[in-house]
Amino acid sequence: MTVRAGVFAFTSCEGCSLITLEVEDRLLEILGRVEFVNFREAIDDKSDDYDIAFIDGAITREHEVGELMKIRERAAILVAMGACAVQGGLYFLKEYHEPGETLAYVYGDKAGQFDTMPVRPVSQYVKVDHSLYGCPIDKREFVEVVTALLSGRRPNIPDYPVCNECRMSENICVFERGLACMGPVTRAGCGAICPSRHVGCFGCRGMVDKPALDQHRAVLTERGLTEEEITARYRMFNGHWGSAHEKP
Amino acid sequence: MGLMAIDKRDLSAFIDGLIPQWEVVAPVPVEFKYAFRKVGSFQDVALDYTNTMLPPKKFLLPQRDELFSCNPEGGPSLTPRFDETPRVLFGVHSCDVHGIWLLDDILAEGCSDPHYLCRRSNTLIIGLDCKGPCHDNAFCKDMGTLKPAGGFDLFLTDLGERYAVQVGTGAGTALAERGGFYMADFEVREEFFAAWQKKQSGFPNRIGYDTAALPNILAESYDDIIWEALEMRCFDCGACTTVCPTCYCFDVLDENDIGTDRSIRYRRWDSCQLQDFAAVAGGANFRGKRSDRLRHRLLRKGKYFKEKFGRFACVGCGRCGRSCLLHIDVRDVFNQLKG
Repeated sequence: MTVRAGVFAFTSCEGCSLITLEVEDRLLEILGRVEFVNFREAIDDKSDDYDIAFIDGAITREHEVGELMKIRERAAILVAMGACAVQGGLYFLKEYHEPGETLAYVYGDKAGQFDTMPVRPVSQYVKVDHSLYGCPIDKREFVEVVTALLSGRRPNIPDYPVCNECRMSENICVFERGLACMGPVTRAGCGAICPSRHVGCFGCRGMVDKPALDQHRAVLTERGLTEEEITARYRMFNGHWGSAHEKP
Repeated sequence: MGLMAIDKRDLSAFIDGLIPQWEVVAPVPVEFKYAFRKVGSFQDVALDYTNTMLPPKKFLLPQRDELFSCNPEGGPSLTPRFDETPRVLFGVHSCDVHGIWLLDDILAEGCSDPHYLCRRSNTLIIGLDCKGPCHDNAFCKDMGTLKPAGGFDLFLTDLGERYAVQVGTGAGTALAERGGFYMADFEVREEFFAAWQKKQSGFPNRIGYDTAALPNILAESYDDIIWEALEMRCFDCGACTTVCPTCYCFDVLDENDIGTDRSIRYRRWDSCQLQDFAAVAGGANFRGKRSDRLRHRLLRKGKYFKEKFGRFACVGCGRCGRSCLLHIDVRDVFNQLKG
């Protein structure tokens, strides 16, 4: 049995779309079961007949809302793909400026030619069946979700912090290197890719379902971060989480 | 079993002589820390190491452990996977020997764990005495793990020019027959005894009472407010159990190949501290509260196993306290409960 799939990009760099093609040794295996029928980074076809829709990108403009809703109607399964689709991504930083301020900064006197509205994740407008986390997504996790959907099982996506994978990899904790890290509240699944390279986690995969925010704040404060610095860390990839919940 | 000795200058030839036949795993430096890794030569080994980041259990219960593969072609067939690599764990401190010794009992008991037992039966353990407390939160003396009591084949104690070698098993005797070892004479025995006395006095007690009382203290603590107080310092990240020499819980997962439907069932380290550890079908979670999870861990360490196996499931290495970002330290909790 093969399924028909579409990859659709909204406000994004389309990097996550491209990751789906980077699975190398597994690509032919996937293409044997998944027929891409609408995927502007890969093919010319623009079919409206598909079973699975992968959504790359945040929703930032009026016309995107209508397009997204049409995709939702056509697809049996909708997968939000990447930090922009799941959390609003880096684009959400715009929401911390005055309306129109970023538009004017980027487009100058041509700003009036562009429409923009508050940045929102895909789930704000349509039901999301599965999420692929990260900036960009993890290609092994893409294979896992596709495999699980084709096999009729639930994908194995962790709901525990990056710290777990980091300790398992026997990394030296980046806090011991004097760096700050979002790992304690961020969803694992990346294999602690940043801390493994001596960089603090940025939180691109979004937070675990029930993050220990007060505890994390206590750790960051203990390590000398100011309120401003902590807020900046949270806003980078998790701004929408803050606006949708009470905490920043 | 008996006491033997080996001159220090002969140790490197002994270890290097094992490498063609066994995968030799030993502590090596990793920046300012240490880790057990496969070594290519005795030169790579850090003899004066302090407690490694992960205990050597990872070579008996790997983080990802493939249990069997399934091939649907020609009628489904299951192929169990067993790791029979002959392996030597060299340089294991007495705390970690105790950890393995406990796992040996737990995983052989009842519905035994064939994957662990297979690795274990192909693994030789050559311990090495540490000389002083490796960290200021290590409380091995309180937990009774300053010297090994089982679970090793050979155990070396530094006597200056040579090592005293305790022989724990027949396999240990066979190893010692490879050359360099000799029976301990009176002088070695004297020095060995002196080294033990010196070690004992060099380690401070860090729990303010005799740990024999611990199971009772923990039994009475069940409704203590301490568990809820600890909630404010816990992330549910499972760092504490990941680095623990006696934690062995795992989650079982399937991975399949979409082209051929071949699949692999594997297990990965789980943790009773993760939020969904005790979640079951239907959405119930019988340890959904963080304080319940914290209490469960501490009671396993200081009560349940002591009652069942006669030994604590805590060897006092202090790894959990050092890996906890908000410093939840088993030793402190044990002390506070008595306070």
